[in-house]
Amino acid sequence: MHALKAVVAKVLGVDPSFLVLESSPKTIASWDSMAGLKMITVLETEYHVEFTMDEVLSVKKFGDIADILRLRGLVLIPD
Amino acid sequence: MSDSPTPFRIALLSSFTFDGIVDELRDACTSIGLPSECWVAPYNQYQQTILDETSQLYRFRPDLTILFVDYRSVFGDALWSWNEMKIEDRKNVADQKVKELTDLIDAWASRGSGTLLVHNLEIPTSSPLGILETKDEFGFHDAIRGVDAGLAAHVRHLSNVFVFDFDAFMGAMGKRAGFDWKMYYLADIKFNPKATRALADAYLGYIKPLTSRNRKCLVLDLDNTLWGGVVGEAGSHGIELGPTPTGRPFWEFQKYLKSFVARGVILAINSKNNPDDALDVLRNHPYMVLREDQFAAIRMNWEDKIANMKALAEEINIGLDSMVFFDDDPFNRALMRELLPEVLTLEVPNDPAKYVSAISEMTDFNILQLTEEDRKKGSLYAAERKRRDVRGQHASLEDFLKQLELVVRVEAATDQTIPRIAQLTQKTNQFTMTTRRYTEDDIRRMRESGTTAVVALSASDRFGDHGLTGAAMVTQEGGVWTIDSLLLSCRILGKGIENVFLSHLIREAQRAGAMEIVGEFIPTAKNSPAESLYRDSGFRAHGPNHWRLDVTNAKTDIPPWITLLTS
Repeated sequence: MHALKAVVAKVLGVDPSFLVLESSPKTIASWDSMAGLKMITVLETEYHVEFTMDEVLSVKKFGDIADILRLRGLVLIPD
Repeated sequence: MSDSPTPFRIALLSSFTFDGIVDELRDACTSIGLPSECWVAPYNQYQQTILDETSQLYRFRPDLTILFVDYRSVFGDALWSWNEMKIEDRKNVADQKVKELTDLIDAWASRGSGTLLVHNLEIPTSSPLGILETKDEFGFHDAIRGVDAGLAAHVRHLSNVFVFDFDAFMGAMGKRAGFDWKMYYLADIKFNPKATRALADAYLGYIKPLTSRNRKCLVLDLDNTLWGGVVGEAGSHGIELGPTPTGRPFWEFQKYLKSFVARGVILAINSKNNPDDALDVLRNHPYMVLREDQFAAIRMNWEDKIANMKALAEEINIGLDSMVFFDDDPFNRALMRELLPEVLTLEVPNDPAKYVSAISEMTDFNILQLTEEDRKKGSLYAAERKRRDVRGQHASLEDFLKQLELVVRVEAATDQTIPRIAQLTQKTNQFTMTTRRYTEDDIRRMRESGTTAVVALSASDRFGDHGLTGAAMVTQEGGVWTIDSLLLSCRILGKGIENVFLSHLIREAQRAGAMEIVGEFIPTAKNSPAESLYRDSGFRAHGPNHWRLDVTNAKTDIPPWITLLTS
């Protein structure tokens, strides 16, 4: 989970320590639509996956990203 | 970057969402030490932005404007219905698209400043016509080719407009990898965001020459760079170069480099090598493509490569930041990067099979126009090098001779040395004044005649003893010394020993109170090396083949690099 937070926080330009499962475009100002797309690109590269459109559209908060990656078989060790 | 230079301003206009390029382009510019500032035109408003002369584009006053319009945007629904259209309509649509784009270019040219870089259109991986695409008249791909050709023709004579060959860029990367359908449908991004850095780097190919960050000179190693193997060990015939599996990579690498010369790139050599070995390859190897004439400056020696690099820059009179270094040896590359970071040291593939690919993908020699002078630049530098070589050789030759520690000994012939002296008269063809052949008995009789002195010359240097390598027979009658024979083995020529030999004879004539020395030069097919000895030593011509010297005022200089020992 720590590594995932680091990747997402870097795209958003925030401190990963304050990234929580409920973090979302509503709580992080820099999380606009462009940042959302950038996040997808970076995560796909980092985790060697290719998300579907539905998966991308289902992301409403940080926790959703973790859920999608778990469903993809990724083991995320809790912090 | 110290005195806050003006950033290079780049305007980006596109037919789709292209904001993602900004960060990558800024990073790419930073990688060549260029501060930059980007401005992106509003989404899909490239036409309005260019046509409105009060638009933000012109107020931004960009140094470079990039126009990236993709084929999907240009052709719209025609892309899906091409096979339903009549041939004439297809051609009309293509012509119309060329006109729309070239009208925009002209509008920009009348309003804008700086340079315009226009993408051409990518030829798609499939066609609505299926495999009949190439059977049908004016298929969809033909339409795109037509637009690309029309664009290229239109900008050919516009000095500040260039076509970026996006189709070739996509082909090199892989057209499927260059497009992400999900991103296209989600956000109208018609170029895979994962490939933006590669695209930014391709733009650098234009930004480098626009900001004078391109380079002028390629400095090459020799062994395992221009040919396979080490010439000092394998010899000219043992190196890999030519039409064999292992020789062809080097052969074609050289052919590619020759095209650099035609583009105005200066070539130079920085190699640890015996000059004789390497020059033999440059001059005589049948498959050597790059000859001496193609190199503006050459350093083949045992100096370190850093010192050589500095000397090359000075000799060619360009900055180190104009130079690129290509050497197969990772140690040399690491050293160059560490000690001369201004030089661009290329990462050289381990496998020579990849040399052409590596060198052909670099963009640092890009130029925006090619003048007649550029085409000739390489050969102009080479001619200048030859002139310098003639001037420079004396100084360096003297240094070379000085460090040889030459010792020359001249002694009267003895019973032990007469066989060798006879042999020398029999075998010497080049440095011999009269080419008279004598037997041992002849020489003994001369020695016993009471009028002829027979002297032998031996030479040695710090590398070893050359042994008895010269002889002279001098007949003394009255006040006149006549040099019957004077000869040196060709092994010891080129070091000034012949002059020392003659000077010694003149000194002895002076000491004996002789008035005159008579020399004879009988030309043969082979003895031209000895031709000018008497003239150069102050003798005056006196009838055919005869030379005379008034010994009283004769100069008898001994070069400072030779120690003369006499009995």
